[in-house]
Amino acid sequence: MDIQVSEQVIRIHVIKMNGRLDAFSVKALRSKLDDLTRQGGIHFVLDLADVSFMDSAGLAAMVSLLRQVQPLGGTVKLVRATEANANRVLTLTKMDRAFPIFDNPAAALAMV
Amino acid sequence: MKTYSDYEHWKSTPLESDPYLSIVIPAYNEANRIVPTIGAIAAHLSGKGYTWELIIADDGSKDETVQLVNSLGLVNMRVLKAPKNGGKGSAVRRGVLAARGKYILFDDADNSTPIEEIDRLLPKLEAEGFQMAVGSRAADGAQEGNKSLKRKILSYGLRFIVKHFFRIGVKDTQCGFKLYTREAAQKLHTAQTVMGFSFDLEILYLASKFGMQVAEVPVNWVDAPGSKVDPAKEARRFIKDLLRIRLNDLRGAYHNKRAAELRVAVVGTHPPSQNTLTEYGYHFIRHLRAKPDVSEVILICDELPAGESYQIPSENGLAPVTVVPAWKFGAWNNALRIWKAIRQQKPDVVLFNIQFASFASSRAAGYPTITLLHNIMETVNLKQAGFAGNPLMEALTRAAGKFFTRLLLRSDEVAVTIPKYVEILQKEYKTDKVVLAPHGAFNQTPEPVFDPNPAVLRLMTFGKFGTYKKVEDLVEAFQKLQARYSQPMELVIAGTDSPNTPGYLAGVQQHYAQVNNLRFTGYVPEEAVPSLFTDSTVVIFPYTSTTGSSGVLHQAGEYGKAVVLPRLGDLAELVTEEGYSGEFFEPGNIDSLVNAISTLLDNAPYREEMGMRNYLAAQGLPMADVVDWYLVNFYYLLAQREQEQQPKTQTPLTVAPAATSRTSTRITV
Repeated sequence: MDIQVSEQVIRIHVIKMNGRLDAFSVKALRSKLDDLTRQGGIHFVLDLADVSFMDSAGLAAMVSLLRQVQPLGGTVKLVRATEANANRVLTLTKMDRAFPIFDNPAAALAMV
Repeated sequence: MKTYSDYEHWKSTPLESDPYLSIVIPAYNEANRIVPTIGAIAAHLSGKGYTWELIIADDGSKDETVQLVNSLGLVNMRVLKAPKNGGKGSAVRRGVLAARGKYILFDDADNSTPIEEIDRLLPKLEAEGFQMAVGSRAADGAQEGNKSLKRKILSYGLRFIVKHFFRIGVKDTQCGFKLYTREAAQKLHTAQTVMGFSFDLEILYLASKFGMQVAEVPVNWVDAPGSKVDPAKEARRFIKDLLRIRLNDLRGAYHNKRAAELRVAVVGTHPPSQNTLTEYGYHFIRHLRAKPDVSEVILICDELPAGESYQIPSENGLAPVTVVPAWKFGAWNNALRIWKAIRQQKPDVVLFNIQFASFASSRAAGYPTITLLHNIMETVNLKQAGFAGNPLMEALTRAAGKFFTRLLLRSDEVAVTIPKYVEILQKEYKTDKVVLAPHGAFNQTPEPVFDPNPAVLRLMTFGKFGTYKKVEDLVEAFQKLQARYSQPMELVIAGTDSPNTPGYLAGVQQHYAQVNNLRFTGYVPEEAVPSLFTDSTVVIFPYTSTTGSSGVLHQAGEYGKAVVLPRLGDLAELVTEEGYSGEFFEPGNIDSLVNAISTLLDNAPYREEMGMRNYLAAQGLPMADVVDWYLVNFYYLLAQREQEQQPKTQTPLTVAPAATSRTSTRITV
């Protein structure tokens, strides 16, 4: 008989967003991320699958999180948006080099 | 009794500035031992004549430690409560990075090394120039009391390994009594990766690696009752951690951490220079200085007229600025002089922020370089911009523009502020070096207070005028508006001539001398900018050609102002991309301008709504965040260079670590 035990001990916050992630909606995301980092969260998966549009302000919140947690050994992974409008700013800024990007949350979690 | 009155004063009077000494005590379930330790420290340090603070770095204690120390009511004591136990190293790290003292002592909660021993360590740093002094139970002259046989064997074994396998000169790595300068403490604990028992060893390993001078000072030491060290168990962990530290180093983990000390050269303008992009330069450098991983900003700027000098005040918590005036607007030898200045300063990375004059790209000087372009030749309407008077000149100017753009693309990256520019340059020059780095709002300002009925309807325009920013149509429009409204009005033309058109505003002022309520402010110093915006009813952009991403539009947003914009492609794009809003007019059409301004003056709720929208757009993307993007890109370029140099090594992109507090009192040139 073959028994395999795996124990997940890393706390990872998976944050799923939908709709527009822009200058007007980003405040809510920033506030949520601030709460989680204050509580000691350093590993994040940001699920953009259902985000229809993302602008520079939305991306800025994610880069800011990355800069905050990476020195503490933390990670920020993204789940790719299905809408091209949401991925455009990631490509234009080349920030897709800074974040590991996955097709779904399970793949992102598997790589932590 | 002087000591007691000093203690009373320390206990109840908050420090007014950074203390001379910070004492950091890591604490995990120390309810039984910590209060006597605090008492001993307070008794010894009160009356010493220097200022000090106490930091209790809790490590997720499950007992009453936190409540107990909080109940002491010491105003100069900070308790850093951790939600869970992360290891002694994590508590020390948290405490040290939060400490503000010139010198920082990490001291065990059990008072094993009496606090009086600090009097032996401090002179090593103060007078002898050491960056770190460690208490030692093994140095000549040290006295060990109550040390169990088991613990003696452990100590000897560990010393042997450390000396022979790690070549660390310090005999006693584990003594919980270490004093650092703040700079050293911040650098070491920022790079720290071991959070358990062996973190001391890693700190000493790093001190040696970073070339720091470490003094080992013999101290008295008592194995305090209730000490939590299980010798055999800790020895196993110690060996494991030793291997981990060595492996970390081989993997380059500490090398990346050292990139945290980033020296950034910015080639550009800065007040009091009145050349183009000074406002942007001022704010960019201000935000760059505040990044914890930036150790120095080197400003390679234009030479000022005789009698003027750059004054960039030093501020605690901001990286120092080294000012190197090395070029002159329009001088033929700028490229060479800038290149020389960069070579001389040896920065880690370089940002060019002088538009097309950036062709002195430091790529040739061998440093990772990003060139920022606020607008691109491909979208400039040269006729309207006044750069060319006939088709031949226009064609020549455009060819020259393309030539310079190609030169700029020799940078590692070219950053542009509008998405459309990325796509245009990528297509036109078949390059993948172009990145989007939006302008961002200079400041985070409080929510604006809207005045629906201002006593004076004040129209304001701000910039450097004469080329594509021309105010004649605006003054004409203002005359028509004054005839239309009974309320008092004022038109404020704030700013100076463009360097390309000296004397332009003086000419306008003379031409319209008969127009009432027209005010020219001339150069607006930084401190006068907020009132310039807040006192305005509407901000107007009398541009005849594309401007790139407008700094003034971002400022109008910061202060929640309604704006009147020309219907020009780039500004329309900016509004869509960054969420700004404006009332548009046709450039060159005075009636269209009058109507756009009237629409806002007549409708206070619309003005308020637009102002609030612009405010939210500005808050959504602060320049502080945009500066982070540049740093992320710089680290990528550095990692890329490293990979080029070591083709067989995989170097992952690492965003530099951000310490939780500033390393030192910065000195500014």
